[in-house]
Amino acid sequence: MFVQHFFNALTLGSLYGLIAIGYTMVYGILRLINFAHGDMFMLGAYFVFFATTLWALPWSLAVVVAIIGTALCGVLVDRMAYRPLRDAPRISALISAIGVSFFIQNLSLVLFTGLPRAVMRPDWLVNVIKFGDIRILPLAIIVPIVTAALVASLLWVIYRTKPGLAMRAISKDIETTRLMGVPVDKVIAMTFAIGSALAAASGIMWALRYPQINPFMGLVPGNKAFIAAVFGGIGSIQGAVVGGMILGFIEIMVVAFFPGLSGYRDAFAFILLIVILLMKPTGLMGEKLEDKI
Amino acid sequence: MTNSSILTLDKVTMRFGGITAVKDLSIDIPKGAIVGLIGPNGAGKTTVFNVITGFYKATEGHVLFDGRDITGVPPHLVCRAGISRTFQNIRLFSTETVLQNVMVGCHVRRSAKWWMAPIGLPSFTREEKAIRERSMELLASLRLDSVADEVSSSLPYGAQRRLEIARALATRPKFLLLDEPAAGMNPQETQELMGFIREIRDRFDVTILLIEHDMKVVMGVCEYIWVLDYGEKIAEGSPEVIQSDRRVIAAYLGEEFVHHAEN
Amino acid sequence: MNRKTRNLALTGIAIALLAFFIWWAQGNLDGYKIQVTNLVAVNAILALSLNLIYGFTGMFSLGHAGFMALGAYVNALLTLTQDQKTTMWILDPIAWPFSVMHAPFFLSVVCAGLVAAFVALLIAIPVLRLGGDYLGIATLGFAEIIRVVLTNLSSITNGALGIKGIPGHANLWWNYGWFLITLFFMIRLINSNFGSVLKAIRDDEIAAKNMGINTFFYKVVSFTVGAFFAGVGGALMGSLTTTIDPKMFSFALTFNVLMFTVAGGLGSITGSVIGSIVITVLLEWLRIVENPVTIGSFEIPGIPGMRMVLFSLALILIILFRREGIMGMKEITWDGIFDRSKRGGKSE
Ligand SMILES: Nc1ncnc2c1ncn2[C@@H]1O[C@H](COP(=O)(O)OP(=O)(O)O)[C@@H](O)[C@H]1O
Ligand SMILES: [Mg+2]
Repeated sequence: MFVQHFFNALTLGSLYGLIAIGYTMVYGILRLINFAHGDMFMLGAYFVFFATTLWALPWSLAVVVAIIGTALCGVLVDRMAYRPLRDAPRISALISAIGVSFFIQNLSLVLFTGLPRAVMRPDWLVNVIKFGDIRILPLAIIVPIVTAALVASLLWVIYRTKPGLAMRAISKDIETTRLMGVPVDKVIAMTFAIGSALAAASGIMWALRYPQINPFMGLVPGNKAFIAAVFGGIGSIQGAVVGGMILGFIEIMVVAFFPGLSGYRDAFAFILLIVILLMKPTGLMGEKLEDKI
Repeated sequence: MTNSSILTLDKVTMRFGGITAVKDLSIDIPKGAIVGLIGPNGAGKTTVFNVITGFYKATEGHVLFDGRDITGVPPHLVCRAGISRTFQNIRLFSTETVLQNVMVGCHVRRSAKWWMAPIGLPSFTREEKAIRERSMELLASLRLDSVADEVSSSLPYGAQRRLEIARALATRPKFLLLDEPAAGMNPQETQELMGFIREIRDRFDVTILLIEHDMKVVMGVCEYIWVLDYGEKIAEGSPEVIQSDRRVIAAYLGEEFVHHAEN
Repeated sequence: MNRKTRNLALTGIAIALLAFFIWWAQGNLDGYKIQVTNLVAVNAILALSLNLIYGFTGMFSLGHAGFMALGAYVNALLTLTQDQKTTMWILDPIAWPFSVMHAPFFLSVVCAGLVAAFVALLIAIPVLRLGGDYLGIATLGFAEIIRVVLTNLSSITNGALGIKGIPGHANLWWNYGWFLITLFFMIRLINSNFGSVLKAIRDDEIAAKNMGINTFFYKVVSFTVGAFFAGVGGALMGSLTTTIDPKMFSFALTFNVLMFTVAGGLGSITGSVIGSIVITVLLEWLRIVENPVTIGSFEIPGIPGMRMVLFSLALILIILFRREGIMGMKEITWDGIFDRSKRGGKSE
């Protein structure tokens, strides 16, 4: 039993972590809570659904299409709704983000209808394997591995490549970085592309795990992943992954050991958020920024 | 001096992580004086203000005001105790009118409670009127009454600095701290400001500590001066003493000028 | 006649005209139009309450739906009879004091506001230490927690099934009465020096502290009072729709209220009122796109969900192209209307 819970938690934690990375990257650079990020997760799942059904692509190709498509959507959102507000008060961009989120959800509702759709799942991912008494989906092993691989390549990009250096520079001081001749808007667009691609990856794997998708599926995981990002220390990629994992474990384990609390499951994340904000507002791995007067 | 001193810094040290912004600073300010705190940029002057007004808590040492230890007291209670200040980067309530800015300053001394406003108790209305009148008087004394209904951010720079002083005075301080009051002013405004500073001290019976880079102002109005460099006090004394102090000249102009000045 | 008496007289005339309109509307408008007119008043209360918290005090709160939910549930529990409650609660029998408690409508709405305010007070003390968008996300979190709790406490709230058949006391008189109370309260508060203090906290919290203002205290006051009126608005809304359930009080509801406030102008009382009228009517008018339209022999099918698409698009466009909303921070005042030579002044 415990092993199964463990793998469930690991899977859920990975999925939260992947979404959380997008929140943390955008926040680190623009100090913006990208409310529309959870909807990128949803779009990723829908891209796979339509690519496999409407265009009859094989699943693996559909995944590639979905990730690229979602990344483009992320860039588009930034271009249309956030970039014009770079010099506006930060809250304006945040309201715009809330508007974009509702826009995407409702447009999806119109275009895709509200019917829950079943996503195609390749057999090799969902045929239960048995180790003695323990029954595990291959998915539960593959999701954490894929996540680890994605995070490792992301860290490589951020710490070992020029665009990564530019991203880190922008998050320290956007104006100075601009003055040094870095094409700031391009780098920000790239950040949105990467974040959205990871959200799409998470959405696709989520759809494998929980195969019913609908236009509002990004809302709750999105909010929780944001909380995971805050918990891990917003701005820190490692923190986002750790935060996602911790949240995944809390959700699975508390419900596993205290089934009476299962109705409150969606509140755990928010309680966690409030506790961490009160105890250590910078999160587990965040840096402290003090106001200069 | 201790006997009649209004503010005492007792071995105050302020550290931010690795940086020591103020180190082991002791200062004693006599009641009713106009005194200055000078030093190169980054010397720690504003930090001293922030420690006094409660925005930072001194890492070590104590701040005594009027015989009371106010180390670590939060800013709004420091104000209530009778200390007010202006900011180096002007911090007005930018969407409010000039008059409203000053009236907000009166708030700390009022007795009405917020819930009396919607009910409109007569005592509330009376107090509100008194605050308005006093604020207009204050504005008049800083020659801002003609712009009382303008939005504060629309004022020219020099007037914004004066408005900050008016607003600070509205809290009825016994001790007023001015952080670079002449910064951004033209020579005529600076001249006027020097007059204002003396006038304020006499009319409102306050002690004034000012940070200023314009040596004409510092030497013109201050009776006593402390000099900071890298967070440490390097000299103190009357303007004449400071002007001829070689360490001060070195701190401001560099070592090679010391010799030059001595000749 | 001096300005003060004139303004007082004008205010009296305006209220009399409103009363006449309500009397006329009750006799002459159809049920749907009356419902929309009611919604305008309730939405204006909600917009004003969010404006107090966000527009005037600068606290980005996304918790409105939570406070509204509390208000709506308290009012439902206080206005339903014991019999109605015992038959309706299916998941769990209704717990004791809640089964028998009952109050007349006015008192019930006041209690709704007080409960919302009390919970807001408990939330405020830890959360208001946070600033900016962290505050937003934390208040959003609390609203979600409130919703989860309402779903689970089925012996008090009837859980996910919600409550039906809430007495529809909230007619035009009640709704506009509460609207006037809220409006009057806001005008008096904001035009006083306490209003200036709130705006000072919004403009520059550090300078406000330096002015001797206990900024934390006033933030708590503003948040709690705002929550009170949100609770009142929620109670009226529940009485208006006669059916409530936890799903109704999701983030989308907060989004709507945010929309009224932002569209009207953050930091403008008249803006909130105008914003509520414009957006409420717009939202109703947008129902056209969801209903099939027949032009001659053509029938254009309605598009379900299109309304919210256009609505959110409208919010994005407002933020992108007219961030200050309809009114900005300006107010329409009697003085502004009648003596243009003198700008500003009190609105009454
Ligand atoms: N909140 C803070 N966090 C970190 N360092 C600070 C802070 N406030 C001031 N400092 C540092 O303290 C030093 C003194 O600054 P300041 O008091 O502003 O100097 P001055 O007013 O004399 O120009 C500077 O090196 C500054 O960077
Ligand atoms: Mg300074």
